[in-house]
Amino acid sequence: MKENVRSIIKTGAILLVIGFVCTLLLSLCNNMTKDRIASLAANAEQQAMASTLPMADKFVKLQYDSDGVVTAVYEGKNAEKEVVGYCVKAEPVGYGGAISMIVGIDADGKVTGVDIVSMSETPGLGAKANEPQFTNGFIGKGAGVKVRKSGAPADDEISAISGATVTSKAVTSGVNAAIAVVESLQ
Amino acid sequence: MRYRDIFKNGIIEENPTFVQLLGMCPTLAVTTSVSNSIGMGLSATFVLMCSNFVISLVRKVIPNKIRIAAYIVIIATFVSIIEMLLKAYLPALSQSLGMFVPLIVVNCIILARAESFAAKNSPLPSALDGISMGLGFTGALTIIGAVRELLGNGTILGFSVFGASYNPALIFILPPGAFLVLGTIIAIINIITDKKNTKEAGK
Repeated sequence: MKENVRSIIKTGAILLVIGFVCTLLLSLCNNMTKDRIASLAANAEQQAMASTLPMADKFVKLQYDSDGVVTAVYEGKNAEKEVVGYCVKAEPVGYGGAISMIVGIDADGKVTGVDIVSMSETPGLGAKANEPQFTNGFIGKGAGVKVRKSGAPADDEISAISGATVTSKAVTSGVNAAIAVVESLQ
Repeated sequence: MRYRDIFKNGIIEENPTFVQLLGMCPTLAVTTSVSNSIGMGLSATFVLMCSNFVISLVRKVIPNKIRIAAYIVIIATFVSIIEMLLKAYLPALSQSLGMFVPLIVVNCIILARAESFAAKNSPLPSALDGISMGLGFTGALTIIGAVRELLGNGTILGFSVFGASYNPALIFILPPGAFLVLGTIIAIINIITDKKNTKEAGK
């Protein structure tokens, strides 16, 4: 009986030590990397905003409560402090989870650029969504963009990525939500 | 002498992918491109080397009853470390590999080598075995990734090989393609090995 208790305590103690040492290592690594990871994420967003709304110099965050798809709205101002457009952060759900994107929209409610900041879509298929070949198709479009699977797209349509319809539709829904939010602000 | 054998073992004789058929899940899922394959393979190699080394160091202290639990904690720690390092210093690769980095924890290769080698050998040979198996894994992934990317996308490492007019066979970057390529490669390897064995036996 006593041997049993002793061995159980010994087993528990060893697991405790292993757990403690591992957690220590992990927290050291976390401390070392967390600032850099956070600043990389912030940088990525800033860069995305600058590339989707190139005529803006400064971005001011507007008060907007997340509606599930659109999570943030930024006003883009040029050097003369005039509002030239908006950058909308949208997170529609794609094939493999949320697709985090920035949509640049000018003062007329037309798309100036789409940048996908992060996503977990299928490599080789849905992951092609952040290639200019696909995102450039949204430039100039207004409200109600539709997805076209085959054939040349009309003025209010974009071409779906071959073999990645779900991803294409998700990105489109994000863009449409962004345009709708900007319309409601004006 | 022994070190050379250990090193060759993981790459050829007991290649974790083509011979032992371990770690099939990430093998099939990640090999859609050469860069993903190499990234995944090298990350797994790092974890294999570190976990084999540490587990070998503490092998006499861990009671038999809890060895699997202990191994998994140690392996998970190294995977979390490499996940943080990738996110901080190689964000593009981290994005590509996505959820497959955390999945290295349950990659059978690592637990299998911990059980069958690190638990019974000293630290330096164990680390070498980890490196060797990891490189064998990386090599296997790269071969499969090259075939799948070439046929399914017309590119290698992003460089177009067949030109814009090539209509890629999409199936190769989808799951069925993974099975087809892996099965075919193993079949070819088996044919070659059988021929070699009959030749040796016939001598």
